Amino acid sequence: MVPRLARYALIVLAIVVMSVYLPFLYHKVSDKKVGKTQLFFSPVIKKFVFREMVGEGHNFVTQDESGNDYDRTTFETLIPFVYYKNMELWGKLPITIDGRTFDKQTIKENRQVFELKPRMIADRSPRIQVFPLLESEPGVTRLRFPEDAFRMTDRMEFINVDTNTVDQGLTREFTNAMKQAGFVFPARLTAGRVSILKPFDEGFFVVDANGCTYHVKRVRGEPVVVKTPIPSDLGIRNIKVMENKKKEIYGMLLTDKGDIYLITYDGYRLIKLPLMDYNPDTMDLKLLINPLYRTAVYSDHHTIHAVAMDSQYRPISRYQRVMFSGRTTMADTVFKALFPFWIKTTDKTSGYLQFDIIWNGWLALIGIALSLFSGIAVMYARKFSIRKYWPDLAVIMFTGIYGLISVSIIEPER
Amino acid sequence: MLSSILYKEWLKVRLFWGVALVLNIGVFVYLFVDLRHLFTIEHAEMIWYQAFKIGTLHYAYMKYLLVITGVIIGAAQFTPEMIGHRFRLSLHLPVRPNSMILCCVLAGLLGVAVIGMLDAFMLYTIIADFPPHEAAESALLTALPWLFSGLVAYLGTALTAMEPRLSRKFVYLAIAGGFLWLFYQGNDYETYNRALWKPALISLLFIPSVILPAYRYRNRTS
Repeated sequence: MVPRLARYALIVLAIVVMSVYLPFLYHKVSDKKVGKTQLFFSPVIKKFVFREMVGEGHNFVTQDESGNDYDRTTFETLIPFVYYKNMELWGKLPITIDGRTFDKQTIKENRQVFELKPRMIADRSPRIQVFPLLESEPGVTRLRFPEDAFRMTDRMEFINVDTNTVDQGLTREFTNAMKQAGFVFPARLTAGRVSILKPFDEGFFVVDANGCTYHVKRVRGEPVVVKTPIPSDLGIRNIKVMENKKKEIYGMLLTDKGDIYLITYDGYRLIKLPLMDYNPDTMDLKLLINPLYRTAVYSDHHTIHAVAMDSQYRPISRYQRVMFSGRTTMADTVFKALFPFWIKTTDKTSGYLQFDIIWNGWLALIGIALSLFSGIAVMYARKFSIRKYWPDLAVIMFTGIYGLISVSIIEPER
Repeated sequence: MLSSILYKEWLKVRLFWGVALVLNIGVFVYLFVDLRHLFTIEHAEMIWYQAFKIGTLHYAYMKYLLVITGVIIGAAQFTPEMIGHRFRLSLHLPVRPNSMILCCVLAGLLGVAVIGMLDAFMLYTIIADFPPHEAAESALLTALPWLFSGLVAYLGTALTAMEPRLSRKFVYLAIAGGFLWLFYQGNDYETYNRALWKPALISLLFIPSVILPAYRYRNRTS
């Protein structure tokens, strides 16, 4: 009895290993190169236009939302604010749209791109909660990392990086400034852009224990803490700070409900983006700002959505399509029939590993039936009694091809 | 009797356990020297930035350390017994064979676990000496799957070494190797924080499964 149980323990291990690596190998063999769809709102024809890879090599379709085909050059002239450098090369700048004329400088100054991928959301990737608070007015051309870093505990604690000890003076100074502004420790969220490769520094947005948002900066060595009017009951999940020379928008704010707001320089006024069917846990979001329109484009691996907005972020047009990469291929169908389930270890949308079992649905019954039939044939060929070794068939019934391979290579003792 | 078996196993592996221990301590001494050197030649704030933001794992070369330890101890414990067929003598001791096998495996696991715990302690202590304690805690969480894989490596080695038939050795090696690699799926820090318990829990099945090759050895069903 014990050796029999030992054998099944080994079979379970083999099934687990195979359900990770066999699907991985299958995808390695069957995957085709299919890029994501590039979708834009054309300020010229006032329609969505897209470029999509539909086959191997450089097989693209370039169309507008009505199905009209374009060559690549025409496509680029339909979105002149994106390809403004090519437009300049082709002598098409300045360009006049809706009676307004735009030269290279105007386009350049009025362009901005915001991006939020699921991995960037604070709770979807690990992050050591120690941050450098840069000097916002360094008095020199380039930003520099300070000689300290802070952590949010029951105070704003600064650690000297050279000695790895708490800087009591700086800690007291910043903690007092936070408390005077009304901050209640501990912090729920600390959000900033930790980089010196940015035009200037806007410090950190910190959400306190009551849900109120504070803007914290270090200006000429002194703490500057502003309590923002962002509602404390908004349920802030993430803030992505994006310093930009335009100084119109501090960054993007994501709520627990999946709503996206822009935090403006206009007294921290919030602008809600009119997104429909947006799922922050699975979709990449891009906000493209040009001199005339704002376009939010968001997609998972299956469908791409877009909403074009005017300069006041009022929706003027929406579009969505199932991407070529999201269509079910023969290889996908065979995969689902062959493997009843698989173990997903990595996920592009998260910095954390998963080890989740993904079921492949009813199609897997085909593979299970074939595996069972093969299992019986193998047992018959090896002269194993089905009555005695029926648990092997039960294993195959639940695990399909993984079970078949496992019970075949780890034979029972006669 | 079981305590005698534990003692017997200790006598068998103590030299190799000592070698593995020295190897592990040596690597951590190097880690300390390496970090000290790094903090001497580079500005500390840049190293903190690399570690916290970019995700550079300055201790990454300890990744396979406990795997090597597990293989050394597993091989030292079971390979000589199998080559000389001395294992048959052990199976004739006045104790149930399954209990004897599990006792042998427990001895080896303890040996690997002690070194693993020492590794964890050294890692935390060394890292905490340079960046703040958050980095040391993060290093510990990051290294936890690597440390756990040492136990799996030991069990996989025991499983493979005890199997009498060569073709089956390859099968066991593939299962153990494949399972071992499940602990090396992440490249950044703390990637296993939410999921390590799943492969760790399943890997416990390696403990009863070592009974199978021992049974096959005893009954020569190959």
